[in-house]
Amino acid sequence: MKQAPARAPAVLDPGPRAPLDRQRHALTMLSGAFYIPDFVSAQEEERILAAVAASDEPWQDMGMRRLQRHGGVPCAVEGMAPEPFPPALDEIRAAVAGAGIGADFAPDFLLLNEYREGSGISRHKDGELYRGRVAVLSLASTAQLDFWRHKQPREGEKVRPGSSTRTRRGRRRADADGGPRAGAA
Amino acid sequence: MVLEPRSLLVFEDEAYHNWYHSIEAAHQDTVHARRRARRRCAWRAAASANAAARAARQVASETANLHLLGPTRAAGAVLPRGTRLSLTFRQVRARRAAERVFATPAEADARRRAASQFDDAIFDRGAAPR
Repeated sequence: MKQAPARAPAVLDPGPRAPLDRQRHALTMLSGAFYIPDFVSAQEEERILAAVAASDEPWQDMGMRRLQRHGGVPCAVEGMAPEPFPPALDEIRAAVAGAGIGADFAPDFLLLNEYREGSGISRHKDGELYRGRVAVLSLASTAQLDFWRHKQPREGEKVRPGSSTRTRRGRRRADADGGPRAGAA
Repeated sequence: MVLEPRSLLVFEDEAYHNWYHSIEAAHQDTVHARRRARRRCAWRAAASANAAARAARQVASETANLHLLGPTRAAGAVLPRGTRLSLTFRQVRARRAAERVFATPAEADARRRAASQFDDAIFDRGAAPR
């Protein structure tokens, strides 16, 4: 896809941003999870929210939240055909890509979720359509995110259909039918 | 863990593959101290059968990023929820050549709708009215 001509940054300030530090930003109790406070400034946050509010990108209504997808339509079978990001969101994508998360982390898909006050999201994993890494920028409100160990569902508790299946140590079966899989976080 | 506005959460490996995540429908959240004694847990578990089941499944009611939160969000702080916007960045496993640019907005919209199946398995919940 041809890139649009370079334009002045609209939502993020130029200049370096404190990168991920896997020691300093590590969570307790849960390995493989990291938290960077103040990844964007209050002014940047304001500009991002304004840009999203001003955009005419359609939302998909999910009841207690609504969402937009950018970057293409993920598909396990055919693969995703990349589509360009809106410029403001592409700035953020570039900042996340440059956040020291990994040389092999080049995010190409963005799920924008707007949660109404008081709403939540049921237990899920992000699944096999994606490489096993995700970065979530939160704006405008706090929310508690709970993590639940996958192993050994308790009595009377069913593992959600469509959840990924462990087949062999360290290897996971990809979802061949591209079924319900992608989540939001 | 508590997601603050303007923060970036990254998860991978163990956290991505072996753990589910969720956000409870609620009007507010409480920052939890680091879990220390078993006794506290027992007290918590005795509070209600629900809480006991939840405590067991959740492994620990401890705010796992307590040490990284801002000064107004110490243990015990109660955080009211508002409208929240999240931007979730991922990298797809499978890509193919870019398609032609969509001829009409309707076509682009239809394409987006085709993606809706991916989210059908996620059920939203609202908190009970105050």
